[in-house]
Amino acid sequence: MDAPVYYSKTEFIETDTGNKVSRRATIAGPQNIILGGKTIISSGAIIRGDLRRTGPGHAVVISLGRYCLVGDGCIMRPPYKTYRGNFNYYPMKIGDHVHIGAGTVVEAATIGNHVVVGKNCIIGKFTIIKDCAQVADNTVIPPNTVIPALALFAGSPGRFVEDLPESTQEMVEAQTKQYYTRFQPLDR
Amino acid sequence: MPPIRDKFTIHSKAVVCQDVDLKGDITIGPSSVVHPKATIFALGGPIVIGSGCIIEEAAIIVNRRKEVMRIGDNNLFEIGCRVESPSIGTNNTISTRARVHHTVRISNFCVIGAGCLVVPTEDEILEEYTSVYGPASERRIWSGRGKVQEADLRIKHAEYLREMLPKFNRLRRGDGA
Amino acid sequence: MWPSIQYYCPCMSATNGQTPSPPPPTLASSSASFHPLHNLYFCEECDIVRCNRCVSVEVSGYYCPNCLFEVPSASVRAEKNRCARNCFSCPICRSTLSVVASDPPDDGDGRPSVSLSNVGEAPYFLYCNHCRWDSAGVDITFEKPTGLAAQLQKFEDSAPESLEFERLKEHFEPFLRTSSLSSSSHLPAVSSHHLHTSSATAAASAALAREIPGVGKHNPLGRSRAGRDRTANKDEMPEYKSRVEAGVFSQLGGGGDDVDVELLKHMETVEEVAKLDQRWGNSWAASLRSSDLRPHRIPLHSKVSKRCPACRHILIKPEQKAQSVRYKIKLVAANYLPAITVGFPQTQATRRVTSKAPSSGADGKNGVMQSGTSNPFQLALTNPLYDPIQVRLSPQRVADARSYQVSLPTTPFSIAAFAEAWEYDDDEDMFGVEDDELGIGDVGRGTRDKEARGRLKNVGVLERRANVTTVGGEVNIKPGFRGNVKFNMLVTYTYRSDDPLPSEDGAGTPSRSTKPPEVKTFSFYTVIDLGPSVVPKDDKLDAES
Repeated sequence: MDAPVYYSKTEFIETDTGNKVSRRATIAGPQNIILGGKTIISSGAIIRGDLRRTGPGHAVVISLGRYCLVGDGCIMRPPYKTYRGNFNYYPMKIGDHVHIGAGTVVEAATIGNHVVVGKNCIIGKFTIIKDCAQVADNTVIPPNTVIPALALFAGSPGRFVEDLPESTQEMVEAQTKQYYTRFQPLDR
Repeated sequence: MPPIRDKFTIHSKAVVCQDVDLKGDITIGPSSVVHPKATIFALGGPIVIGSGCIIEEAAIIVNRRKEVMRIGDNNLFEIGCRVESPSIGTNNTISTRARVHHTVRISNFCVIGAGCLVVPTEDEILEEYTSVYGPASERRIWSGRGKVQEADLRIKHAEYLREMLPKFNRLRRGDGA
Repeated sequence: MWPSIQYYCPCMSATNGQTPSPPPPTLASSSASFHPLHNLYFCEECDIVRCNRCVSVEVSGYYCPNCLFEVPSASVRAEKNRCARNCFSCPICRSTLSVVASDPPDDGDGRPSVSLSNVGEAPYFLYCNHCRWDSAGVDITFEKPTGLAAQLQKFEDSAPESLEFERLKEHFEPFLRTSSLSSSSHLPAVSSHHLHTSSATAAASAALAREIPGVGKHNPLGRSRAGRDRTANKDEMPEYKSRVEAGVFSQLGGGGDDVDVELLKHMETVEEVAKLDQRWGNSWAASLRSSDLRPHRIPLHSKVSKRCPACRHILIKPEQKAQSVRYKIKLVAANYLPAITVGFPQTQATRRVTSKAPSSGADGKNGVMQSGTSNPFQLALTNPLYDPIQVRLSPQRVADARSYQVSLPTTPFSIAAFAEAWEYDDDEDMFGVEDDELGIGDVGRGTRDKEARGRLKNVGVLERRANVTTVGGEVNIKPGFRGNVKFNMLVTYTYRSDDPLPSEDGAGTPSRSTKPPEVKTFSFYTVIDLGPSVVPKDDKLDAES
């Protein structure tokens, strides 16, 4: 009953692990970005892997888990601050089964597993979103906010609205897997 | 409207990424940083950006007026903001996806919060230390406490970007360079 | 949002022996009885659906939603249910405050004279990242950036209101102690007496009686004895003398009439008065001035266990760790009842959108139905059990015969068992199957055969795939009907349980089964909302002009 979401086959690059990345997305510093597999980066998204921590060697800037969706026009960039007088960007880690709605800007430090962030949200610097939490559409989460597990946040500034049902994990998992299945190429 | 003549004057110490949309007469001062995917359109008069400014990705700065749009020093234009103010002082922060109309002049140390709209129909000047926040874009005057640390953060941020961005992005040079 | 389906929890209806039936869905009040499947629980003992309204809730742990510290239950009361570490919310916008150091001296233009090094400078203060409020403005600063709540506690505790409250508590302490002794002796009577109402309320009142012993006395059984206790104690009570005159509090900024009138008289902008929601969380009546607002310690959140209100068996038991999303016990309805999703056939959905597009875009993506037409819809039922089930759907007759009529297949149909393997199958292959059978196939067939197939061809089993069976239904809307097409539907399913283990499907309760023990039947009500129906455009134009 769930209609497939078609995409143009020429627009997306599919990796060996099933990640689907739009050619219309801007991926800066791809060597610093990890996609867990079966993750979709939609058209118009900007992912800033170039804003890496200073220091020698390889540095992961943004990592996304499996079955994630970065919606149309999303901007993902790592957070920055000065610590003990030194400026630095800090890595952003996102778990499995995380959907980020279209037009949302994310500067979080960590997002857990099974998290759903709505459309046109602003997730401030160093935000921590725990497992199975959700953020309603158009929410503005100020910097350094912590969103506990199984909480729904909404508003500007985003605040706790309610506890989510105990079965949220299963629901989100089914939903993200289903979305990946529905996301199908169209040759024509 | 006469065709827009492009004239980009980029200071040699500024960092402007290649993937930036520029139009019209634009001057970018020393130590300023323009991230990829930013847009600066001088559709009417020219745009002059001072030193130490940071213009992040998807930010849009537009001048539709005839007069020169002057942007002072050490301003931060965060992701996806849209600014058309004819004049902006120093040490201001236009936060993520905020929107400021051409009717508003911004003084110094102002903060337009994330997602806020400042779109009055009458011309006005934002007083120093104005903070705009919340869903209804409410205003208050903040104390200025912490501004030195914030300025320090911004200077170090710009320094860092001037070093890091060229490693991953191709840069644009001014006409003169 | 439509089309939608919700499941009925019978807790709001009187049970007089038979299966409770839900209220007519046209009543606005009926919405309280219906819930999304995923919000419901299932008690195996009672073999019944439970909802958040009827389960009894017990706190199993407290934590601060900001620092995520797990607060031992013992210290929760002493810390007044709020975080006793470094978590505060902004009095202006209620976002979380950060602790920041003071600025070093600057050379006047707001720039640091030297590059700042690693150390922050005292005093520290609280700062809001959202609206830029800071606590130095209300004279709250700290010498150290840690243990702020403890530093603030001193102010809090020395406030005249707090002192008065402490004194009152002390004064009543002996009285409370004697009555708690007597009330605990008749507590069993309380709970037995209240059993017929709801054991949830009984549990709550028992808890209340434990906390506030006087409350226990208001039950009819305990009255005579408790009454004696009370009079006895009353006589012994010394009179309480307030340390402060009642009027003094108003001068402390606590909402005295004259003071407030003065303030309002001289007010220039409306922002000078603190909004109600900014003052709402104050423990004591506070000043009206927004400039007097203080930061709040962040209230704690709790993790809860949930029990069946009738048999007291645990339905939800979370793991101890505050941020764990796992449960030691989790009996949710979605693991027992088939999940149903409602949809419109794709051809029709597109047709609706196009036909509706000129008038307005506010009707949702499925458009709206028109009166005087018959509209097919589909129900996809997913079987969560490891055994196949037989399902019968019986839509409730709609009370008003002039509104609409619902047709669904009346004969039972089967849904295959859920198998773990399907879930982890590589989904792509399966998707192709669906394309042929339903998605793409339907596009061609639907337009071509619509008329030829006749009306009732829409009704019946349309597709079987893994543990999902899709059936078609049709709603016939009478001419002139305007309003939401919404109906109750009874779903009855029968399943064989070959598995002798009691852990499976509640096999430990043979009482409900009238058939041989391994075949069981369960039924539940749902409400289906197909969205609004409008009078066709020609008529509507007449009505509007």
